[in-house]
Amino acid sequence: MLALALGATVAVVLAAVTAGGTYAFLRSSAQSAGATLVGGTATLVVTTPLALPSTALYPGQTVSGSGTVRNTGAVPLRLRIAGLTQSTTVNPFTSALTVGVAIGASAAACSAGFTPTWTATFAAVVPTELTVRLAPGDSAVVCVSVSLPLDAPAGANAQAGAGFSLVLDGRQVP
Amino acid sequence: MRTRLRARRPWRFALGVFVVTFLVAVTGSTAGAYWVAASVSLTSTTTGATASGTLAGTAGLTKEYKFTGAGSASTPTIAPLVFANTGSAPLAVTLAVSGVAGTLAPNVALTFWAGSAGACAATIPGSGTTIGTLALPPALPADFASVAIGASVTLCAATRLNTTVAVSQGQTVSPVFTLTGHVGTNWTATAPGAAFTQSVYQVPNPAPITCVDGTGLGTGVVTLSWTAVPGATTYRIVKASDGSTVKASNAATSVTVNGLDLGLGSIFSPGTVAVLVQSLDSTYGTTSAGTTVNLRYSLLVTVLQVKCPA
Repeated sequence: MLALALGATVAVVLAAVTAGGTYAFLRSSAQSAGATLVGGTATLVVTTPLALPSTALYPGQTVSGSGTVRNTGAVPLRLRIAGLTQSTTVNPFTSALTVGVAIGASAAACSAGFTPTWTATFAAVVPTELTVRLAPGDSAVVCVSVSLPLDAPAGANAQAGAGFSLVLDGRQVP
Repeated sequence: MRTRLRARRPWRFALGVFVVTFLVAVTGSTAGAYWVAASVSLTSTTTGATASGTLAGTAGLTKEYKFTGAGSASTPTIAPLVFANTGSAPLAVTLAVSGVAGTLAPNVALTFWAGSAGACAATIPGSGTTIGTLALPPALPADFASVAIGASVTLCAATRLNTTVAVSQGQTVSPVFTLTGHVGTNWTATAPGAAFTQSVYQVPNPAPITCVDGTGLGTGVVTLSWTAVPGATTYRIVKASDGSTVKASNAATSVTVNGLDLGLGSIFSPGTVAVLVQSLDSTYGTTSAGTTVNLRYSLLVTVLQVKCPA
């Protein structure tokens, strides 16, 4: 019995020490309870919609722009690309497009061209966390590029364009 | 038994409890603590480009070569060919020429140089040109390597016969120039020009030919006649079989032919022989292919007779 008590006590103390941060979240969650979550403690909003040039895309061409998201919640968040969807009918043009994303220093920096840290086609999207930590009240400029590769198929010529959505969410971080 | 083991090695039991409790505390707390903000969307629209173009002006290369002397001294045919990028992508333009089978195309020199605003100089410039033939066209000017969206470029094309009219008389070629704009690896915009014809002068055939049988018993002659052919200076009758001359009329537009003229002296059964009535042009050195007349022949009481076609 003494051994049981001893093992459990040591384990709990060590766990609290080594995973102290996480333990703090648990406490925070408990104190805030459900009301805090419903009230939007972890909340992202788009403060500046994505603006891309209306230039028609041809093979080898890229258009770049940016949008801004803000953490309006109460906990720090790490931005995550949760999805990429298109609102128009799939055709050889939309299938050939590549979307790139990076966190930019400014909207101007995005428009001038940037090196994406994440790329995907509409057919293959892997949800990925971006390397940006948004403290409550902070904003991030999300650079977005859309490219038509040089080897885009001939069938992509003179096709209708694509309306698309880049879906972002945020995960709480220490 | 267990009690005994615990009594003997209590530290082992304490260690087990420690490991289990520690792992549950550490891993369990992490999974349950993350909050995820509801997703937001950045939306936009992209527009697809179109690669397209047009080619105009090729009909200006229509030509009948009709000159005296050497072709190199003749006046070239010059026409501005205008390629317009009517799409929404910049294009690198290449040229292909089709419809150039035959013997004339390799003998027609083709020269390119860059024009401006749809116009070309009246003579071939001394420099800045590329030279080939209709069969092997020359390279396009440098500004065709990238034609901007909405822009037009002018290709000045000049053709000249490398041979003489006499050598290439009657030959014809109908090329089709096709400019193709490229963007990326796979996008193309094809712009075929209108077909045009180039030919080399040849004096026309005399036609139609009127044939009249000689009258009276034992008459073995026919008279062939025709209207005067513009450009012809003389006429002649030749055998279709071997081109040998049967009779020359000089400038007259009729001629009388008998069996001996046709070399039929040793014929012992009736038949036909084809002759050609040809025009000759001494100015350009050309001869028409000839209009065919199938003359009949027969033997009547050992007298050779020649008759017009039935």
